[in-house]
Amino acid sequence: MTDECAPLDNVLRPGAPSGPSGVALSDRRFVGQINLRGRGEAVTAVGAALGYALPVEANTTVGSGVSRACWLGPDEWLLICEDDQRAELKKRLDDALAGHAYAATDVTDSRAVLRIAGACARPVLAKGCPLDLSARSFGVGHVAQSLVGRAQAMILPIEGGGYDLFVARSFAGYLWTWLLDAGAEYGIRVQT
Amino acid sequence: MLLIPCPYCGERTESEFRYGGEAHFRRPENHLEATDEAWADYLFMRKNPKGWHRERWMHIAGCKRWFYVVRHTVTHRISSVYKVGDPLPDLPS
Ligand SMILES: [Zn+2]
Repeated sequence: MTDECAPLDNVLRPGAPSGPSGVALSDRRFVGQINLRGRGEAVTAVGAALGYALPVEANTTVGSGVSRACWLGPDEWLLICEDDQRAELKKRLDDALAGHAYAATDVTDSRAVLRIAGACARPVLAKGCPLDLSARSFGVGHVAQSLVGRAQAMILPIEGGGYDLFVARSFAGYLWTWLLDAGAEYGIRVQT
Repeated sequence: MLLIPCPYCGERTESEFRYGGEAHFRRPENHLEATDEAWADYLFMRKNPKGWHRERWMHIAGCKRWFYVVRHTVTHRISSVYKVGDPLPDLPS
């Protein structure tokens, strides 16, 4: 995202507690996001274009690193990529899906992505999220849309522990301050 | 708090959902000739049973899909959930 006024600019203050910190918060500002709708043969065609099959099992994600497809619904996915690759990804989808009934929409600017990491990321998130966050049922390879502090969010577990929270950008400031409050007891390191 | 088994996502907490009221009531077929009573029935009258109820729910914070739930309005027990277009499951006896 290259906009002048990023959604967290008003609340993000880098810093660290003098003591130990169990939580690290950061703004993942540069994540490209494309919403994809389609069914049947369109799903197969996308798989060929991406080089991997779209996840059809509920609440799962396929891909590597930033580039991945997240299941949102039975005919809906969020494809994420490096910010500077989204135009290319969108074109690849449009080319692969010509003639199919589908919608590929660049929604990069609709959501902010907040990263909560560190040893205590899970207990902080659990304060405001009704999902079972135990590593057994919700780890890397899973993804879910749910509530965090009553805000709707897509929650993506990341390598090494922690989560990327995709939230409507108008909720980003609210969710950031909610996380600061929920994580205060563990010590929060805020990174840019 | 209900634990609702979304037919797409699995069991989720009630706060992720929106209630959509009674399911499967139909708009009058021949709308130009339908009586006022038929319109009023369609627009305003609902069963509101004390017992098993077929109702609509939407997983608004999750997959954002509408689906159907059979729920007991006294015990809140959910006997089945099904997708739009699925055959109607029987009500428990
Ligand atoms: Zn769902």
